[in-house]
Amino acid sequence: MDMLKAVKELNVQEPKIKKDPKLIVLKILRNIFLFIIIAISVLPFIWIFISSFKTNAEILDSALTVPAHWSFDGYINAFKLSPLHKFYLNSLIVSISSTVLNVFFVGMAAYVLARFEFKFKKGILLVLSLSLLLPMTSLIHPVYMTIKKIGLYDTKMGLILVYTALGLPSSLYILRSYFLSIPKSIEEAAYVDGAGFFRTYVEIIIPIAKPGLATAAVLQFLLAWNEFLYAIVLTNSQSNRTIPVALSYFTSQFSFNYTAMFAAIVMVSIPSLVAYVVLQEQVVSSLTAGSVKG
Amino acid sequence: MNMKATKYLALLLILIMVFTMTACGSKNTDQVVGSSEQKEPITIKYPTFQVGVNTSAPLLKQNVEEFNKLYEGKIKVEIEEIPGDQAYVDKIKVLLSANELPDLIYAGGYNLLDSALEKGAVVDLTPYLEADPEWRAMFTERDLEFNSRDGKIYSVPEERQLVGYFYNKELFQKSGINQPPKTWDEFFEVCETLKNAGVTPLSMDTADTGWLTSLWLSSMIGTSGQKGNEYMNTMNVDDYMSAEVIDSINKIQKMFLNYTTPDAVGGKYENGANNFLSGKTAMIANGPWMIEDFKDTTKAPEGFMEKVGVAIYPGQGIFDASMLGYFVASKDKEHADAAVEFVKYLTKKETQLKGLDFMGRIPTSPDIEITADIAQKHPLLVELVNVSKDAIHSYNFYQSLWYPNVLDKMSTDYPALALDKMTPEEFAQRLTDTAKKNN
Amino acid sequence: MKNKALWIAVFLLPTIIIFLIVFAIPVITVVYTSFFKWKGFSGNMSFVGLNNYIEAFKNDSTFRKALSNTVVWILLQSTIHVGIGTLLALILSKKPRGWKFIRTSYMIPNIISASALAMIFLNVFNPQFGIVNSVIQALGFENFAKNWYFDFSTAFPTVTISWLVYAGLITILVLAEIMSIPESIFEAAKIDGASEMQINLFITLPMLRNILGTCVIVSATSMLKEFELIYLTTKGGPVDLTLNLPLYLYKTALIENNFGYANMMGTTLIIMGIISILLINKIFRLGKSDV
Repeated sequence: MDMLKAVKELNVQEPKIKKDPKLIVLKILRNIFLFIIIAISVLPFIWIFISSFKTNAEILDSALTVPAHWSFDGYINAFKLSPLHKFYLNSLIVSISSTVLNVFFVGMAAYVLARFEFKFKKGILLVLSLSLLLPMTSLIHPVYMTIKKIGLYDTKMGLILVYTALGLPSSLYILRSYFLSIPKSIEEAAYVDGAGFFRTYVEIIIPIAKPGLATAAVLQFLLAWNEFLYAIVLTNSQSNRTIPVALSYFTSQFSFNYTAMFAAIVMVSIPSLVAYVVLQEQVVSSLTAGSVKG
Repeated sequence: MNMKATKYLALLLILIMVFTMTACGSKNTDQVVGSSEQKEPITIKYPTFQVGVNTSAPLLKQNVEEFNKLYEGKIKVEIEEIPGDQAYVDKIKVLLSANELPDLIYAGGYNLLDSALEKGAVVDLTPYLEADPEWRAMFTERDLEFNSRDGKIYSVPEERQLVGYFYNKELFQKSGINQPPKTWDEFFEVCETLKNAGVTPLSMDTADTGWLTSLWLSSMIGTSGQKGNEYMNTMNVDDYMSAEVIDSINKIQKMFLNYTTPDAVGGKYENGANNFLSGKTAMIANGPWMIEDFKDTTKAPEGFMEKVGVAIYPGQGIFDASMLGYFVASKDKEHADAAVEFVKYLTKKETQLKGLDFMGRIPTSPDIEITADIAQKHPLLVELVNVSKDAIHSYNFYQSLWYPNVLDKMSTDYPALALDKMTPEEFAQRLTDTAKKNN
Repeated sequence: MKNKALWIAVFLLPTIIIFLIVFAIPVITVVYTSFFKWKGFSGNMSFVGLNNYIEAFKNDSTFRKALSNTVVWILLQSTIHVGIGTLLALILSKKPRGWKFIRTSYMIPNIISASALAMIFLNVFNPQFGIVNSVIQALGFENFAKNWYFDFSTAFPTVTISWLVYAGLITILVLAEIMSIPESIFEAAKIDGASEMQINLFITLPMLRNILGTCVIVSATSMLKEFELIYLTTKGGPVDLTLNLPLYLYKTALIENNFGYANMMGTTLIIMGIISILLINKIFRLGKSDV
């Protein structure tokens, strides 16, 4: 490592080479690209945020104006028109639980499928992949019946189970991919050291695969967080309903309250964003904390 | 090494805790309430879409509270809130497939009754109506017939739907128009006059089922003569190729091409509504539930209410429709009786009067007088009832009459019609083909 | 490693159980009933063999259009969207100024629900007051202001573009993978005199083989399921220009109550999916470890 550092210092004369016009053009293009990305990601949310202070007429009249009066009515009405606060807690519980379950269980399966050869491996993988392809619509009736039979209708647990399953295929593929790219030599070294199967998995593989696990977790969380159809079909009472359901309270065929809806979206999105940022920090810091795969 | 193992174990423990917390803490507490009382109240399950911003939401809430208080200990109505009309239909269908319909369902404009009948899940209300003549008298014979199948009455409505169209009196006057058009030819003249005066004549839309557009379409067919009128009162038609239908589609195309806003194509109800409320368009076809919006200052400028007039359709037509109403799907007599009690409560005279007073909901019975009090509270509604007396032809709503897949087809094909990429004949043909798929 | 087989079974079991509970019956039902005529709620089903399939491929022009739209979108999503997502990941991996902000903001559209997103898009592309047309008109190009979602020529591309927001997921997947490549490899390459571009093309990308393949699979198969955004914006219109097979399935099942026919479409989607997965596996040589 020291040798490398020394050599790097010798090469510090890089900046002069960068005056190459081709590189400058590339850099400009890159910046334009990044700017567009930021624009299409952030602007819509800013629009919603500003609109949450406008009246309905103002929202529907024009896209680019600022509200005449900055009013918090939308926020007040959001709570009046829908049980938003109740649902928020439910969404948290359901999303976090299904994320933990999903990553935990599917992680184990993905590890085994990535690493070991055994009978029926290809078959199992193919069958599990089927879940990647089933349209949601075809699933509603059977899932409803199954959940009812198990006795989990109108429970958070029922939703958690279904969401864990719904995210099964994508987590499987993602985690399998990450596990595949971990060099086998690491495990071999662990076995030589005398570590057992489980120990190796827990103490060596998992830490290395953290970015993969974190990513799968994010995807699973989003799936559970935004899911609407099963939330409506599999639950009955307000004590079990989730946020996407709440957002539907604000439009119906002949009536609308965009102000309240946007206020609700803002209130729901900001904590999620904060949580995401914090989580990302954790993941990144654990990555740079030490050499990961060296 | 041990640290990591314990961390992992801790995670496992948390998992187990979360499991048990959610599994136990959220099961319905119906069973938990012990039967310490002598007799438990019968619970009536009623899923409804009348929640949130739906205009009927406050009224329903109030009715349920009052009923539960009145029947405390005997009957309890349990509401399941299902926001969103499509979500409501989806869920009812899922429940239907599993043969687990709730006690009470409001078909209100969604063709759910016939699907439920296919499964044989609906309770026959005829004996209940016969046993209570006062209740039966609340409904017109026409309503009851509309809600019957094979001579048995299966559902009862809770309101009478009377729909004309609203127009902006100020914009009319500014363009030199003194009164609403009486014939369809006059109607198009009025549109032309408005256009020349720089006013967009019509609010139209194509999203969902293209309500704002299709009301005009239905009126054109419904006022075109006896055949057309019968057509617009018949359920589940499967042939759209008649001359009057195609001619009406033609008129609609003309309206799209010349007399409406650019965002009508692909527009949703709220876009069309907003265009009218902000004074961009002069006419909008819609029902009395919209009247509240004219007073709402987050949607319309101050004093907008005074500018609005209501008229019947050219050709002296009006929507005066029987609606599919409440039907009961309880599995045992006890629950069925209780559900019917609730339906009676919702549709009896006092409740209907309350609905009239509270939100301008027109009662089912033509015998109910509109008092001076109510007239003062809902002047536009009274105007509607008055002009309705001039109507010669009355017809029903396409949304209640036509197959759901036809409604969907209309919505996706309107843009083609509007952009002149499809002829009226093609439009009608496609609707016919779609309707026939239901057989 | 005595108990290896046992451990393998234990590790696989929960996932398989979950799969069986939730997915097994539906898969079998979908495929089985695709050979039946099954409409409405009366419960009557009659065996019709391949009729549903023949009817769809031969006589149903809407089905064919939905099918072709789906295929085109699969191709577009797995190439353009994965491409853009990967490009962004490559750029962000170099940690330019504000990279954390960019990485966070690209996730924003995914955190807002689909219905909110649809509403945003409808308003952005609104022909009367939408941002896009307002800007175009301000710049003076009146003629280019269109009804983006409903004009025959622009509907399909507009829907395609609207999916770009989901490319953020690709970015975080690829970025996570890039960041776990040891620095030493890059340093060695730089010492050898490799340029930025060469490093990207010949070192980073090959190491991303597995995750890229996975991204392509996930994107491609998501096109076999995704219909919410379309449903909430154009509903498949105008006519059937933006209709895809999952949406057509939804309409057939839940609006027309024609369950047998809908399940035929479901089976078709499953078959398409299996083919896609097998193909992509081959192309990316997935399943083979790097080392």
